[in-house]
Amino acid sequence: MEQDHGLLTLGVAGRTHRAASLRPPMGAEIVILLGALSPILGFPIFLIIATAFNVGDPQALPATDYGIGNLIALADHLDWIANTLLLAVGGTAIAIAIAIAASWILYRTTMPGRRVFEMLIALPYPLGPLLGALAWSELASPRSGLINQAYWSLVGAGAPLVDASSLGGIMFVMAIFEAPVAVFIIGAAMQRMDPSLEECSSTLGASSLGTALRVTLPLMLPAILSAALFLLTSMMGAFAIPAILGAESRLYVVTTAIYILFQGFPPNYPLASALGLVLIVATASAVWLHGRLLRNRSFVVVSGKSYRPRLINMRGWTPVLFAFLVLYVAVALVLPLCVLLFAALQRSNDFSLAADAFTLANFRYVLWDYPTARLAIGNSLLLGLGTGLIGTLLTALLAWVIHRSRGRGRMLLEQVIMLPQSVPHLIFAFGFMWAVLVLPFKIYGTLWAVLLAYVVIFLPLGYRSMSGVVVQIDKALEEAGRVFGAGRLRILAGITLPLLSTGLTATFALLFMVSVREVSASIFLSSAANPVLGPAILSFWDSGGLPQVSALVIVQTVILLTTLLVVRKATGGGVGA
Amino acid sequence: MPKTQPHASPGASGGPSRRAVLTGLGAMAAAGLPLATWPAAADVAADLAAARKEGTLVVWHSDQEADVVNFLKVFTERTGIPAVQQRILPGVAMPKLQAEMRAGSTDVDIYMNADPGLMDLLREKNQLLRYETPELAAYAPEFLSQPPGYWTTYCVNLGALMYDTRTVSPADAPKTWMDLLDPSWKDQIGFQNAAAGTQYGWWYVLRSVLPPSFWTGLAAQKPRAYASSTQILSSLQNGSLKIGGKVSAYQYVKAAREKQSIAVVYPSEGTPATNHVAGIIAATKRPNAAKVFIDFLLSKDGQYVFNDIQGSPSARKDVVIPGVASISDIKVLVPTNFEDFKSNARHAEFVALWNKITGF
Amino acid sequence: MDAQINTPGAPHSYAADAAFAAGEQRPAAAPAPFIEVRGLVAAYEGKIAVHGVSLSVPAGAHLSLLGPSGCGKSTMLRSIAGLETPLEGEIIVDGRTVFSSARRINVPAEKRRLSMVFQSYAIWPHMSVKENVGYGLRLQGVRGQELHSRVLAALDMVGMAAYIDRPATDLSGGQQQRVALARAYAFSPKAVLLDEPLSNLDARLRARMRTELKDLQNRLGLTTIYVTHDQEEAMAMSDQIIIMREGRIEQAGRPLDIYDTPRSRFVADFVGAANILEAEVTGRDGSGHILAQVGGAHMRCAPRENLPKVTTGGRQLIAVRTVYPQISTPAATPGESHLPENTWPARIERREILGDVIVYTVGWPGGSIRAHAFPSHLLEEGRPVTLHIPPERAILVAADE
Repeated sequence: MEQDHGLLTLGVAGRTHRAASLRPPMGAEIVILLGALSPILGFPIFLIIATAFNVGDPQALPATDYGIGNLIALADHLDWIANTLLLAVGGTAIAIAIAIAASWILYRTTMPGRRVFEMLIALPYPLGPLLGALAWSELASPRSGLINQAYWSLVGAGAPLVDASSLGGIMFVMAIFEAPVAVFIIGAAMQRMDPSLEECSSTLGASSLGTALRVTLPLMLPAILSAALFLLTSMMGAFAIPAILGAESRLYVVTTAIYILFQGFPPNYPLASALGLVLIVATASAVWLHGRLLRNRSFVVVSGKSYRPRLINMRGWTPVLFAFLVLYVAVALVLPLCVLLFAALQRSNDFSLAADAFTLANFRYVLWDYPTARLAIGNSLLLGLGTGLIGTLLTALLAWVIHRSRGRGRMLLEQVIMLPQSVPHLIFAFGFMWAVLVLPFKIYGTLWAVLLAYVVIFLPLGYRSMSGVVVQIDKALEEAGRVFGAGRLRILAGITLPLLSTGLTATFALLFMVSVREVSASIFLSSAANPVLGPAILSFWDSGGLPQVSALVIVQTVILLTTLLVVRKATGGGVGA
Repeated sequence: MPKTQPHASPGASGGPSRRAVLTGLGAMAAAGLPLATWPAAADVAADLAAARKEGTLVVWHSDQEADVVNFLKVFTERTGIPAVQQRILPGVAMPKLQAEMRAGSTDVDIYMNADPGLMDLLREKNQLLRYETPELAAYAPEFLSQPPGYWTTYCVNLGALMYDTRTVSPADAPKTWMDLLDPSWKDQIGFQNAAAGTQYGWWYVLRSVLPPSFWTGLAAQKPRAYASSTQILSSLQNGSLKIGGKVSAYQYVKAAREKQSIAVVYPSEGTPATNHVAGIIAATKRPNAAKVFIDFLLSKDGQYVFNDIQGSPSARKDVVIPGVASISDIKVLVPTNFEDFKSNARHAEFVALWNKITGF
Repeated sequence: MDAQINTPGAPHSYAADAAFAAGEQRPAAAPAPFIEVRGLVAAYEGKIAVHGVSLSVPAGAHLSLLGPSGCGKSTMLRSIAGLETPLEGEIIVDGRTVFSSARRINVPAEKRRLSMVFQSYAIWPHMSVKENVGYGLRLQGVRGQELHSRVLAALDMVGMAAYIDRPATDLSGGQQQRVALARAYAFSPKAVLLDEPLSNLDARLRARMRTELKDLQNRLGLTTIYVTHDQEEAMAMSDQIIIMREGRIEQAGRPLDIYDTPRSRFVADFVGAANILEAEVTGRDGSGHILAQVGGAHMRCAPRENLPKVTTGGRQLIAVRTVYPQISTPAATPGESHLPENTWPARIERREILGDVIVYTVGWPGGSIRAHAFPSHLLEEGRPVTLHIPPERAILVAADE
C-alpha cells in the first residue's frame, strides 16, 4: 500500500507514553500561593476540629486528650442545631421568593422607576444586619414593639400582631436583609437570557404570566439554585440578627450559642468547637452542592453573548407589582431607618411621642463622649481601607494567575481560595483567634489580627469579583504585548492593570463595605484598645440603652451610605452590591 | 497587715495634696527599683510623672460602659493619665486573659469585675500585681484580698427585685424571692446570663437560704437571660418584661434620678450582695499609671465619684451617697466560705444549672 | 513532482522533509528557508495538537496553514510565535534557533521579533491608535519624530492615517483589523504571523481585505505565515499551502497543485468542491493511466504509480472537481458505442441556480455527479445530455483513515 505522500509525521508509535506528562507542570507561582494560603486557612480550621474532639482540659490548646464526648453532648442541644437549620431553610425560601419576584419585575417588565428601585432594593444588604435586627426588635417585639403598640391602641390589648423574636419573625427579618444578594444573582441571569425563547412561547399562545412560569422560571433554575445555596450558607452562619432578636424568646442558634459558651466561665471550648464543626459540615455541604451544580467549571460564569432581554408590559398588573416593590423597600429600608432614627432621638428606653421625649444627646454621646465609638469608627474605616486594598490586590493576583496560567494546580488553588466560604465567619474567627494565640506572632489584640482575618474571610468574595473581570479580558491583549516585545512586568503594568481598573475599583468598594458592616468575624479579635464598629455596636447593645445603640447604628449607616454614594460617583454608577 | 508606707491622709478636696504626697513618694521610689518584677514592686508607690508617660491605661470591667466612661473622664482630669475601657464579662475576660498571658501579649492594666472568686484565682496564679495602696486602711477586711493589696472592693452591688410600676402594681409585685414562683410571672422574669459574676454571686448565697424546690420552680417560670442589668431595665421600661429577677440596685437609683416609674424590692429573705473588685494585672506595661488608678479609685474622693455615677453603695464607711441605700440599712447576704465560693467546681455547677433554668 | 516519500518507520531525515515541504524538487541553489520547523510536537489543553510536523518557509514567501478547526494550525502558529511551548522539535527563524527541545533552547516570545495579527485583533482599548501601532517600536527604543513618522507610514499603508490620534475604542471591527495590521508591519518584524485575521469580518469586507492584504504583502515582501480555515483565502493569497488535519500535514504544495492533484478525499473535499466516486480499479493502460469501473461506467483516470488507500469496503476513491465535467447537448444522442472515451449519455437530474454559477446534478451510468456551469446557457431538468470527464481530471485519492 502506498504511503500517503502528504503525511510528514514521524511514526506515532511510542509517543503515547507522553500523554501522562502532557499536562504542564505546576507553575512556581501556584505552588507559592498554595503554600501561603493553605496554612492560613487550614490552621484555624484544624484547631477547631482538634478542640471539638478534646475531652481533657477544656482550655488546653492544642488539646491533649481526644474523644467524641463533645459530639455526644451535642445531643442535649439539638434545638440549637434545629433552629439554625430551620431559620436557614425558611429564611432562604422566603428570600428567594422575594428575589424571584423582584428581579423579574426589575429586569423583565416595563415597570416605571425600575432604576430607582434597583438601587433601593440593593441597599439593605450593605447596610448590614445590625440595622435590621435592631430596628425590627424595636418595631415588633411581642410585648413592646411599636407596631404591636399601635395595633393594641386600635383593638385593645391582647396577643401581638407581629413577633420579631419568634422563629418566623427572625426568619422573616433574615430573609428581607439577605434578599438583595439573591436579586443580584438571579437578576444577572435574567438579564442574560435569550429573549427568543420567550418569544417562541408567546407566538405559541402563552400569556405573559404563563410564559413567565413555564419558560422563564425553569431557565432561571440554575441561577436560583445558585442564589439559594449562597443564602443558605450565609444564613447558617448568621449571628447579629439571631443574637438581637432571639435573646428575648430564649431562641438560640449555633452561632449565638457559641458566643454565649465563650462567655461562660469556665468557657466550654470543646462544646463550642463541636458545634462549630457541625456548622462547618453543614455549610461545606451546601458549598459542595453548589460546586456540583456548576459541574466543575470554574464557578465564574463567563458572560456569553449579551442579549437584550425582552421587556414585558404587565398592564393591569403594574400597580400590584409596583406596590410589591414599594412594600419591600418600606419593610427593608424605610421603616427600619425611620424607627432607628426615632429611637436615636429618644431620651429614654421608654419610647413616646411627647415633645420632651426627644433629644440629640445620644448622637453627642456616641460621637463625642463615648471614646470607644469614635475609636471603633476610625478603626473600622482603617480596616475597610486595608481589607479593600490588600484584598483587591491579592485577589487580582490570584485571579490573574489562575485564569492565565496553564499550571496544573489552578483548580486546586481555586478550591483553596474558596474554602473560607465553607466556614461561617464567627467560627472561623474563633479558630483564627486560637491560631493567633498559639503561634509566636504578637498580633493578638491588634488591628492586624482583625485585618488578616477579614482578608481571609473575604477572599472568596473578592476572588469572585476579580475573576469575573479577568476572565472577560481577551487573553490576546496580553499575548500581543508579548509578541511586540514587552516583558511580563511591563505587560502587567501597562496592559493588564489599566484594563482591570474598573474591576479593581468595584472590588475595592465591595470589600470596603463588607468589612465595615462585619460583626461576627471581629467579635473575638477586637479588643479594648482596638475596638471595631460591629462588635462595639453589639457590646453597646449588650450593656443596654436602646436610644444610644440606635444612634450608633445610624452613624454606621451614614458611613456606609456615604461610601456607596462615593463609589457610585467614582465608577459611574455601576456597582453591584 | 504590714504597712510599708505612711498612711497618706486625703486632703480636703482630694486632688492636689494627694498628688503632692504621691509625687514625693514617687521620688523616693524612683531610685532604681525594678518595677517590672513583683512582688518587689508591691511596696513601691506610684510615680505620677512616670505614670503620665506610660501611655493610655487600659481598664477591663463588667460595669455599665457609660458609668466607667464617665469615671475615667474624671480620672483623666484629675491625674492627666488617659484611659480606655472595655466592658467584658468575667466569662469572656478570663479565658482571654489566660490566652493573652500565655502568648505574652496582654495589654490590659486594670481588671475590675463582679466575681471576687475569679479575682482570687488570678491572684493564686500570680497574675495580679500586689499593690498596697495607702487607701486600704479605710476598708474592712471582708472587702480586701488575703493577703491584701491584690484586689479590693470598689463598690457593692446589691441584687434586688425590680419592676416598672406602670406594668405591675406595687400590690401585685413580689415581696420575697419565693414570690417569684407565682404563676402569673411565667415568661415575665428576667435575669442576667451565666457569664455574669453578680448572677453567680446571687445564686451562691441564695442556694443556702432558699429551698432546693425554689430552683426547679424558677426553671418552670422560664425566665429570660440578658447580657446586662441595663438590658433588663430597658425591657422593664418598654414593657416586654414584667419582673427583673435580679437587677443591680443601682439601676433603681438611676431610674429614680430620672423620675422613672421603677420600683425596687429588697426581699425579706435578704438581698445578695456582690463585691465588685479591682486589681492590677501583673503583666501590666503601665504599672505606675495602674497604681495611680487604684489609688484614685479606692480613695474617698474616687469612691464618691464612682458610686455617685453608678448609684451603688461604697465599701468605705466614710462614703455616703444621697439617694443610695447603704449596706447597713438592708439585710445583705454575702458568701461566707470564700474558698468554696471561688472554686471552679462551684462555678461549673452554677453554669450548668443556670443554663438549664434560662433555657440555654 | 513528489521528491521523497516517507515510508513508515523510515529514519526521519530533516533535510528530506524540508525539501518535501517545499512541495517540489529542491534545486541546488534554492533559497535557505527563513522559517523552519522540524518535528514539532505540541499539546493543547492536555492533548497532542501537533504530531511531529515539519515545514519551511522561504524568505518573502506566503505560507498558509489551512484546515478545519482543531487541526492544530493555530497551535503551530503560536508555537512559532513563542506563545506556546512545544513538547518536541526545533524552530529556526532567520538562521537562529528560537526553540529546540533537544538543546533546551526556548527564546521567549518577546525576543523573537516576529509580529502577529490576532483573530480578535487585540487592539488595546485603553490606548490611542498611535500608541497601539507604536507599541513595538517604543519597546525597541524608537521615540519622538521617528516614532511618529513610522507609525504614520504604517497607518498610511492600511489607509488609517487619519485615525492616528484617536482612541482605540472609536474603531469599528474592520478598522481595528487594519490598525492591527499596521501595528504588525510598523514593527519591522522578521516575519509576520497572522491567525485567522479576517474571520471576524463580514463576507464583503473579507473579500476586500484579502486583496488589500495581498497587495500589502507584495509591497513589503515580508515572510508570512497565515492561518485560516477559509480555503478561498488560502488559495488567493498563498505561495504555499499546508493543509492540516488532526495535527498532521495532510498535503503541502502550491495552491493550484493542491487543487488539481489532491492526495486524499479530505483535501479534495476541503479545497474546492469535488465529486467523490467509488470505483474498482480494473487495470492500467500503456501510458500509466488507471482504468476504473465506476458503477456502470468504464473510466480512464489520471496516471499514478501506486494506488492510494482504499475505503474500508475495499473501494477506490476517485475525485472529480465539479468544474471539470463537461456537459454537452448534441443534436442527436449518439449510441453509446460511438462515444469517445470518458463520455457517456446522461440526464440532468436537478438544477440549482446560485446566480454566478449553476449546479447541475447529472445522472450518468456511474451514478450522480455534480457539475458547475455558467448561467449563460440553462438546461432544464430531465434533459438528456452527454457527459464528458477528462481523464486527467479524474484523480485517485486516498480514503480517510
